[in-house]
Amino acid sequence: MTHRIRVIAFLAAAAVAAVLLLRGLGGMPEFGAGHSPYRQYLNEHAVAETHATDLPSAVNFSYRALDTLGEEYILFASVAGVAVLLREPHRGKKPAKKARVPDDCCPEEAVVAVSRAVVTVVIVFGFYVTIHAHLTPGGGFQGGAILGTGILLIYLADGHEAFAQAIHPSLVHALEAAGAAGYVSLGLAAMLGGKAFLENILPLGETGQFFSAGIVPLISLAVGLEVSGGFSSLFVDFISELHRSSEESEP
Amino acid sequence: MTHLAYGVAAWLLFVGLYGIVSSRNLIHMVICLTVVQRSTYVLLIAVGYRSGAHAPVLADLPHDAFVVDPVVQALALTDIVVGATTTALLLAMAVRVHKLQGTLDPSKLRPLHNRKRKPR
Amino acid sequence: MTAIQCALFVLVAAGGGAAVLVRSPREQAFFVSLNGAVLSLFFMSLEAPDVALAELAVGSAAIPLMILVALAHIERRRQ
Repeated sequence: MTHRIRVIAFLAAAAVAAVLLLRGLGGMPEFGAGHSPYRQYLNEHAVAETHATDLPSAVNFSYRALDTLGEEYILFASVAGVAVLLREPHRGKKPAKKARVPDDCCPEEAVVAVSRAVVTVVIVFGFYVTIHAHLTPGGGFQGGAILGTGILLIYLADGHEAFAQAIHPSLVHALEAAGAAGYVSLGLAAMLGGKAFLENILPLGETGQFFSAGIVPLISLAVGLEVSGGFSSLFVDFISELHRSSEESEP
Repeated sequence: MTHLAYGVAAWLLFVGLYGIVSSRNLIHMVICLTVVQRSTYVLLIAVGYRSGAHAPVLADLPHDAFVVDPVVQALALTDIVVGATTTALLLAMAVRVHKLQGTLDPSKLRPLHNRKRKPR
Repeated sequence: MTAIQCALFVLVAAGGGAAVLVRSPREQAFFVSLNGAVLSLFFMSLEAPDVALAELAVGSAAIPLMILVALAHIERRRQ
C-alpha cells in the first residue's frame, strides 16, 4: 500500500483507539490520589523487612528480584544481538595495523580538556552509585549506565586508538559475563542453603549502614557489572566497526 | 489536572505511533519508538504519584513518612536502561539493512531472497 | 499539581512532539537528548530520584550517542 494510504488508515484507526484510550484513562483515579495497596504495604514494612532505605532498589533486588533477573537477560540478549549483527569476518587480507587517521583526529581543545578532567570522576561516581543501592537513590542499572556511557569520554578526547587500548573487548565481555553469572550464582547460593531462589542469606545488619540489607548490594553490584559491560560492549562494537570499515574503504 | 497528566501520556503514544507509520527513514522510525517508550514511563510515574508525599528514599526521613509508590518506579527504571539496549539492537539492524540494500526507506526495501531486483 | 509539574508536563509533550515531527535523524538526536533531560527533571518533580538518574544517564547521553554513531556508519558507507 502506498505511503498516503498507510497514513490515512493509521489516522482513522488512531482516532478510534484514542477515543477508547481516553475513556479508559478517564476512569482512572485522580492524579495524586495514590491509592496503591503495594505502596501502602511497602511504606509500612519495607524498611523493617529488608533494612534498606532506598525502596525502589529494595523492590528491584529483593521483592521482585526474579523479574530483575529477566530484565537483565533481555539486556544480555540485546547486546549479543548487536555483536552478531555488527561484527564482520575479515575478508582477504587483514587491514594494516597502522590505520590512517580517520576524521576524528584533532577534536576541539575544550572537548579534550573537559573529557580528560571528568572521565575519572564519572567512573568513580558510577561505582559509587552502583554499590550504594540500598542507601541512596541509585543501583546497578543507573551506575552501570553511567559507567558504560562515561567511557566514551576517552573516545571523544583521545580518539579510537586510545579507546581501543583502554577498553579492551575481552575485559568488557568478562565484566558482562561476570555480572550475568554472579546474579544467578547469588540465587543458587540461597538454594544451596535450603532457601528459595534469590532469597536473602546474609545478615541484614543495621539500617543505614553500608554493610546492611543482606544480598541487595551484592545483586546491585552484579547488575552494575553486567549493565556497564553491556553498554561498553555496544559502544566498542559500533565504534570498532566504524573504524574498520573506514580502514577498508581507504586503500 | 488529571486530564493533563494522562493526556500527555496518550499524546506521546499517538504522536510516536504516527511517526513510526509515516516514517521514510529507518533511523527516524527507531527514534519514534523511543518516544513511544517514554509515554509509558510518564504514565507509570504519574500513576504512582501521591500529593504531598516524599520520594521513596527513607534515609533522612522517619520510617513512617508517606512516600510515593516505589513499585512503579522500580518498573520504570529497569525499563529505561533495558529499552536503551533494545534501541541499540534496532539501530544495528538498520545499519545492516543499509549495508545490504543501500537504502533506509522502508517502502523501498526488498525481501532478501528476491534476487531479480537489484537494491537501489 | 503544582505549577512546576504542569510546566514540565507541557515541556515533555512538546519535546516528544518535536522529536517525532523533525525529519532528519541528526536533528532528532538533539531533540531526543533534550527531551531526556526534561523528562529527568519531570521525574524529579514527581518525587522519583532513581528513575530521574536512570533517564538522565540513558536518555540524554547513551541514546543520542548511539544514534550519532549509527548515522556515522551510514554516512561512511554512502561515501
